[in-house]
Amino acid sequence: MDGQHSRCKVVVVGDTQCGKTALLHVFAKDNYPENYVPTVFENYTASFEIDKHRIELNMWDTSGSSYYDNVRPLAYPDCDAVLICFDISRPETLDSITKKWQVEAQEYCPNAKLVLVGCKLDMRTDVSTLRELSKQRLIPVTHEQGSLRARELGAVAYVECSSRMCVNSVRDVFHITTLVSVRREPAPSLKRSTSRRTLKRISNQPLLPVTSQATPLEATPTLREDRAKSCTIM
Amino acid sequence: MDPPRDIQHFKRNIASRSTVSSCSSLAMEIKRKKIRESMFFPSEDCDIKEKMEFEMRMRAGAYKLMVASTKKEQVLDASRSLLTCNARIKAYMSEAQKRTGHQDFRRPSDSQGQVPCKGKVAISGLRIPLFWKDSEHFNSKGNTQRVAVFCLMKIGSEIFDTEMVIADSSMTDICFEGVKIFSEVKPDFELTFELYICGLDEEATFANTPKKLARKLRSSFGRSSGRKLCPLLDGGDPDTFLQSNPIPPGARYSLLAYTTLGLEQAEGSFQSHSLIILQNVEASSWLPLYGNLCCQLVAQPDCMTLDMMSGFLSQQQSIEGLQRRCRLYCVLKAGKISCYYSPEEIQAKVEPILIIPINKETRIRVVENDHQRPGSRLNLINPGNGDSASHVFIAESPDVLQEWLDSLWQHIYDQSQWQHTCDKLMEIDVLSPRKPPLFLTKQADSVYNDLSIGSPGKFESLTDIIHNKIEETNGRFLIGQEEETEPPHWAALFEGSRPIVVQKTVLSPGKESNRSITSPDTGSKKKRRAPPPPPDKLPFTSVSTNQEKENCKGPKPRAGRPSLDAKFSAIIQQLQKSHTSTRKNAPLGQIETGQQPEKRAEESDLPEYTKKEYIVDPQPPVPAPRNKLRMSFREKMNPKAW
Repeated sequence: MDGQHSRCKVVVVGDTQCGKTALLHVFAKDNYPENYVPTVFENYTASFEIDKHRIELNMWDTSGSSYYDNVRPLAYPDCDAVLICFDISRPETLDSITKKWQVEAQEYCPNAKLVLVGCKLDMRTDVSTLRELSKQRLIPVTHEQGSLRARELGAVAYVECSSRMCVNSVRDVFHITTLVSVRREPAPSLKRSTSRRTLKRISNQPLLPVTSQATPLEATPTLREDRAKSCTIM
Repeated sequence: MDPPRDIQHFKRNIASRSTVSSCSSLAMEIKRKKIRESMFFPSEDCDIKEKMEFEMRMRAGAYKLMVASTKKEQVLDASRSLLTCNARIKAYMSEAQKRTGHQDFRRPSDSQGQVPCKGKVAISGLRIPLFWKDSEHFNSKGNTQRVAVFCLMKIGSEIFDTEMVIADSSMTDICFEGVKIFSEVKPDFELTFELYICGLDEEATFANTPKKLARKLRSSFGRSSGRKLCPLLDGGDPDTFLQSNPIPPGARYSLLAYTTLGLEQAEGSFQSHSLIILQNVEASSWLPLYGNLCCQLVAQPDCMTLDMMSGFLSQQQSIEGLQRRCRLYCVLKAGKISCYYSPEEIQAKVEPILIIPINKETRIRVVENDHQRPGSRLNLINPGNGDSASHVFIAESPDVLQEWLDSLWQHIYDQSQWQHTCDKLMEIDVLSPRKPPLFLTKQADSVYNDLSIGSPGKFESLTDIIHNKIEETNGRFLIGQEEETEPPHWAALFEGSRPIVVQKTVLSPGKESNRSITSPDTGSKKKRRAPPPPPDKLPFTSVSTNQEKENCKGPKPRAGRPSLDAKFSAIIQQLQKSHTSTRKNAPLGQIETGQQPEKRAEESDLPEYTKKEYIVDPQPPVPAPRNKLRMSFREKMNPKAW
């Protein structure tokens, strides 16, 4: 197991302004982009270890705009996982997943794992967001709604995160995605008893981040509960 | 790219820009420059600049995508997008320059000439025939050169590209699906068609070059982010972009051929046009073009599809000297004025009560009779074969009349400019099959493969199998019919052949002599039994048949060789009889019937007995020749028994 090297390709898709680029920026560049610039295509690379297993993550950022529908399929080939993102403060972005993103992912990479990601978790308790949605008689997307949608999609996981408020939630998203993708590769080595135990340990401990950086203080206890709920492997 | 979508997209961008401007000073300066420029340039130039920014962003994304890709086809497809974006940026820049140059001359040019209406141009069914040598096309063993091909089509600043197609020597022509529709086209349009090509043989460079460029790109992430913030400062010149961001040699497209199509070529049907091939290009040897471009070009002027003018007019009619007015709703469209009683009739698809053709031969006169009645009159005169048709309309006011006059003159001018496309409306087939997913499409087989010699052989083999099955089923049906005649024959044989069974073990030739003897006996016995079938004797015959069957089974394992000899003799006799009977299925039927009746006899004896009774009864009414036929069948069965 020592010295093993795996390479994973992850494509991030979702409606415009869902928080896709912020998610990748926080994970790969360690800074939150304050200014919104619409993305056409971006490519990020991150390397880390999970239980002495070296993983190189190749992440493809795409545009959610329909004007790039002809070119976005170029990003899909040979990807291991697709992160389908939606904005928790905008319920219509969750509806788009069934109408567009699931169809597109299924068409261009039917073998890839799907991970549903709920972005902007901090907006669920934001007062101004709640006020704006109440005018339209709407509420932010609940965790149950996200989980239900993930099951309908056949996704392997549903994760919620806040790129602005909680860096650990962002890392959890990519750790879970990596675990889901890497499991396929050591399949032949499952015959060994040691590898079985190792995989079990990894699956039992998805919450622990590998890097031991100082995490920012969490504002409210509800965020902790949400964080505990967010990491759910179907 | 449809204009309304662009508008919607850029409205969103405005919101995003405001957030950018609130933070950075560069964005503020950019915004100020835009405000200053907007003072001088009209809104059209702003639209062009927004489109240019969109394409620049798209180009940057396509370049990153190309550098990050590892598959050849993926890199080539991204390179195609990059080339398309650069072409659009060039077109937008040239368009902007034209407009700035023509600003001073706009007003006099407008007053001098009349501007024709716009229209739509659709091109579909693209097909480019290839001209392979026989050795290249049919020699599949040789390593064929595979090339990536796509097309660019442009009218003014509107540019469309096709999907990328991988071509090799097995293809007779290159086809591109889909319909490209250009909007806001002038009648003097020039559709420029360009064919681009890129070879796929440089596999070594693919592995290394993109990775190196990717590393450079990653290290220079700060630069690319800077470019995003100030796209205007860079200028966006495609040549400058390509210098700072070189395309790897393995993914570089070359222009191989081009042609220009205009209104004259827009016939609406599938036609062939000449294609100009650039011989200097290295790629010309990879793909031998026949020199033709086959496609369907449709031109649809707006005056044929939109209402150029509509409103109420009063038609002046004279019936038997009396003059009266009829108020009608008139629509000017497609070279005619259609008159209805009310505009609702148009939605109800009611036929117009009056249709007046409007073309270059139509004479339009304004009649003003101030003495009799106040009002403006319009006289439309169309010369006919005998008399000229004349229609007089009265407008509600002189202003309305002027509007109609302007529309009528404009309509006639539009027809003169769009020429034959106004004779009949060309339909654009927008419904095209769904585009298959990228990289999953199978390469199309060539026509020659479909017409290969091997294919009819396959069909012949299939037909043979079907015929064989039919023959087998027919044989089964015949076997079923013959089975009914066997049981009485067997019973007769066993009854009369008691001493024969004993002699089997002694002599093989003796069997043959016995067979000849038994044949007349069976005939005589049948004749005797037919008239008096006594019920008392039936149980005796059943018992005897069972015993005889057991005896028959006994000698077979004892003497293997004599049984084989008997079989051979039986086969020979069958063949001889088959010739005489002239039935092809006879031997097959006999063999199979020989096996099945034994099984049935073993299963149940009583039902066979009942069958025998029924069979025996109809014998007396049957004429003699039919008996002979049945006898012949039974005689054939004799050798099988042994």
